[in-house]
Amino acid sequence: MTLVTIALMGAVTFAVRIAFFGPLKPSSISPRIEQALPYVMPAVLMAIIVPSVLLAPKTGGDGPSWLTPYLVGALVGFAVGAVRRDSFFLVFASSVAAFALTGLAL
Amino acid sequence: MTALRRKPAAPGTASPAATASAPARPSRALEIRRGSVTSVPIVVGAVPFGLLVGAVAEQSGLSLPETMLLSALVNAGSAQMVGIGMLASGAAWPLVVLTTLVINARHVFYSASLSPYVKHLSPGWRSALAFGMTDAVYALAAKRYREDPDPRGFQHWNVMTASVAVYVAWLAATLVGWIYGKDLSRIDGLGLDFAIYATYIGLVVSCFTSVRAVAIGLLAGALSLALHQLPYQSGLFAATMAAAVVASLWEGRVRGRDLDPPS
Repeated sequence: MTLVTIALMGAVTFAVRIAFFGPLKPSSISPRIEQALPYVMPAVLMAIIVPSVLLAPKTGGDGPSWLTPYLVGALVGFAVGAVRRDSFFLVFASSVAAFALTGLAL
Repeated sequence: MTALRRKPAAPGTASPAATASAPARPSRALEIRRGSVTSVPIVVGAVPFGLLVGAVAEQSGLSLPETMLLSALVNAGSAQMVGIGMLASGAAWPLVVLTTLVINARHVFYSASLSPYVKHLSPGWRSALAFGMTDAVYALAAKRYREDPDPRGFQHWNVMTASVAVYVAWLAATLVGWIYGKDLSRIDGLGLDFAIYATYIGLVVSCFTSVRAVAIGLLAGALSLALHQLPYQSGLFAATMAAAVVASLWEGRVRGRDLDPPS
């Protein structure tokens, strides 16, 4: 039964991913939806990032309880990204480095 | 990204204007090479998440075939994570499937936004691309097609290369995670999952090409935070939907008269 459930989970995931690649005509996308599309990626990613970072587990150190490695890592990542928007590796590496260093320091 | 900048010799890589001339199109081999380079960071981001999914599945009592089938068929980290919890707790199967649908509903936007670029491809290609279209692969695909929307190009080979690389890494990480589940169950406490958020931060800043994009992103983040207690990550979906509606209205106001002629 679990295997059937897993297969169905895969099926619905594939269904939403292929929806506009064939079954639904791209012309059926209304202008309302079409003009929202460029904003989907920033919206989804921020909707994942913000709660994950702000609700990250507190550290037991002597720093303020809101100051977690997650928050510091994310802020450094956004700060580097504000300057070098298209340098993915640089943003990724500096964010992870800040996370690791804060984890060691706290 | 880095690869593009290091190869200034290849013309037709940057501006859409350059793609108008047919001979300037990057070759299939070049697209595959680029795809493998740009997939490195998302593979690095996917591995800890895959290890975590495998380890949590083992700890939750899922068998190895069940765990591998989950990664092989669903191929979506957050949906699998929630799904594992529900399967382990014996939730009714319609609820598990419906929850997967809600968590992954955002992919319908990805499919809509990429459809103009893939409509000329064969059904087989479109199915394969759709199957591998995870959040990170979509971000890479959107970036590539934004740079070069020419339907005569080989961008789909670029996307497919990244998609296969991530898929293989995802399966391997799930397997290793399940085998070493007991040792890795502390991986959460070590914060290795931060790699995935760092990946998303790197991807999201490249989307911040306008004040509106930043504002919509912040709105979605704030809503998602406010709604995070909704069950089964439906807050993520609701926040994205709400932000998308605001984005649509805002964009409509800015474009103003552009919408007046009947479409």
